[in-house]
Amino acid sequence: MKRAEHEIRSNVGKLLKQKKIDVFIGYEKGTLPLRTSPCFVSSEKEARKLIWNSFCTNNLAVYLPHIMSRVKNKRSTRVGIICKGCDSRSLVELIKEKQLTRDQIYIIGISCSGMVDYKRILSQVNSDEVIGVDETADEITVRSKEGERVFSKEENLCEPCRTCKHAVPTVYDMLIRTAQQPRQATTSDSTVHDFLMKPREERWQILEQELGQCIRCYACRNACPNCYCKECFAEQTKPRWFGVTTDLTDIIFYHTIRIFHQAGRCVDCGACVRACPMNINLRLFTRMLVDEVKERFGYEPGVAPEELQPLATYSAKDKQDFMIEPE
Amino acid sequence: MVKRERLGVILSESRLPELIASLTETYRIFGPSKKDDGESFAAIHKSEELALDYGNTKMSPKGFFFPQTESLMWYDSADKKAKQDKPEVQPTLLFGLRPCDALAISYLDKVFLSNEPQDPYYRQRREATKIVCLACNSPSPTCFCTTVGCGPDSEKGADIMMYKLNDRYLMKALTPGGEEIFTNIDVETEPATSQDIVEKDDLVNKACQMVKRFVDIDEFKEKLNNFQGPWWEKLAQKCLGCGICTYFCPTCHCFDVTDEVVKQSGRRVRTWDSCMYPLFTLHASGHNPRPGIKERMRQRIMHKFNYAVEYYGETFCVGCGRCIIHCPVNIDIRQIIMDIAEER
Repeated sequence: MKRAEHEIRSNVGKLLKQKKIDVFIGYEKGTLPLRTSPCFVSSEKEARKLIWNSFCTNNLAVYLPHIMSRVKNKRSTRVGIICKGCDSRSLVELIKEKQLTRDQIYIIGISCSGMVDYKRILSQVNSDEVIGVDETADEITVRSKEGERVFSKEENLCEPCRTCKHAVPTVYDMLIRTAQQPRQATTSDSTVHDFLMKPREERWQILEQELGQCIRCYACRNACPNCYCKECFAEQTKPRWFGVTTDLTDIIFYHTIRIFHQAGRCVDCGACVRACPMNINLRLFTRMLVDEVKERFGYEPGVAPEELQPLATYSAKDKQDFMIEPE
Repeated sequence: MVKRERLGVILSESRLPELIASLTETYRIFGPSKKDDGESFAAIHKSEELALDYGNTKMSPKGFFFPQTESLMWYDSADKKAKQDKPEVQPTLLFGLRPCDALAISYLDKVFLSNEPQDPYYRQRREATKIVCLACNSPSPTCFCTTVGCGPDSEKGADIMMYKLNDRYLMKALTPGGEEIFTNIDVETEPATSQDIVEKDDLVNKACQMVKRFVDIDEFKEKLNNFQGPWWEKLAQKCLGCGICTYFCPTCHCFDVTDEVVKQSGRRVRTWDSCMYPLFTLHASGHNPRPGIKERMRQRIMHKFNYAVEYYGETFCVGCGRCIIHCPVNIDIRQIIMDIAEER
């Protein structure tokens, strides 16, 4: 980790000094234990504050469409960014959707060994007492007033990392390898399967329970690199597509439409889940799309840069069994 | 009836069940609930349901008076009549509220009640509600109340102030409403002694020391007089523009009013709004005076630390730390305050 951090700092410093990039998006130390914070670095000196550890969970690709839409000279501006496997998959999709061009970005890829879910760890300690955190290849040590506690990284990984099959970035200009092996998931996600096995009433109940907690803060949308629409359907007023309240109908409408817009695009980074302050399991719904798209079109978003998005193309081989005759 | 005593009264912790039982005869009680480790306020029927050693609830209690979604009225153009929705009002007690949340409610009172016309929906709920505050003995690392004019024993907004001493509570009525609660309850108490007060002061001092004072807030406020300050762009860079900070804030109170019309009839509904949203202050012409995240973040900070001071003489931040805990990119308002204060 420390070596990777050092490599990131020196390389970013060099890139900025040589004016190969104008700004670099990475992570800096958070103000709370077990947290990091995205940061924008534009000088060699500033590059020293970049860090790398198992809490660099934010998907930084989310900032790129916004930055690119604002830069005046699109041809000459180049943004550097650090990417885990999932972040790079987001970038691939953004490039396919023409939100960026490949030569506008310089990607420092990092082979990822899985990110640790800080909320999961905090729920196991008295979060008010935490003083500091240390990390080794497989363990997180939380120091608190009550003493030290050691947590296994494997047991406290973020949900999507458990089943991640592409921990090494799918696109990069420079790859940094950490001391740990990149994570190679052997299990597949059974969330959707388990959910579908439940009777309909129970499925509805789960949906109500999960989404019923939503406070409409839109953090799921704003943390998602795919949600770059200049005007979101949730904010359109002419016409207004759905109500503004926290009644269940409005909430379900919002999430259903937002998630449907992710079909064939969601890279399963889990940024929406991590951003949600109410801990709603949004991945239960996005996973369904990911599985469905893979099954129907054999497409995994973000994996192959040259492959066309399934909903943006047509093949005679596309499965058509979803077209059903009305009963 | 609990008699009035100069220094307050002492209630043995073992009598807490009696106190709650006695209070439930007159009031609906809401308090930090054991069900989710004091993460939220819930209806309390027995003292065992209370989690009084909680840090701070996840959502602030502002929703009790100012719910996120509230029907204001229903109408039907066929019979040309509108029916106003009256909030359900019962004598209610918020029990065990933290001083910062009580202070925040006193600020909301200024917004909704200090000027004509008063907000009738807010008023009805507020008037039926009394607040029993519990001073903080162990503030959280994200607390910064003492920097913004609040504190672990801040009394403003509370009708009764409670302090947890070793195995007993020191209780003091601060308002006529608080006195009324005392007259309505039947539980054995003793007059507080000066020794109890020494013990309380000691605990409060310890708590104050635990809350870090990190910056000279006046210097920061002074800087804010420069609306065009060069710092906003950089501060807003990492903000995602979600509404978490405003929705979790106990003092944020902006709302939107919408008509939901289906054919002839409809309802008028009030919902929370957030200055972080693109629809906030979007004009009908399409012009938006706050077009980007920079302007929106500036609005949030300025409203709390500059405009509110001008309008109400108060800083609309109580230092509860909720926005710090829940921000998905770890934007820390303490850092913002420091960065702006130290800007040369």
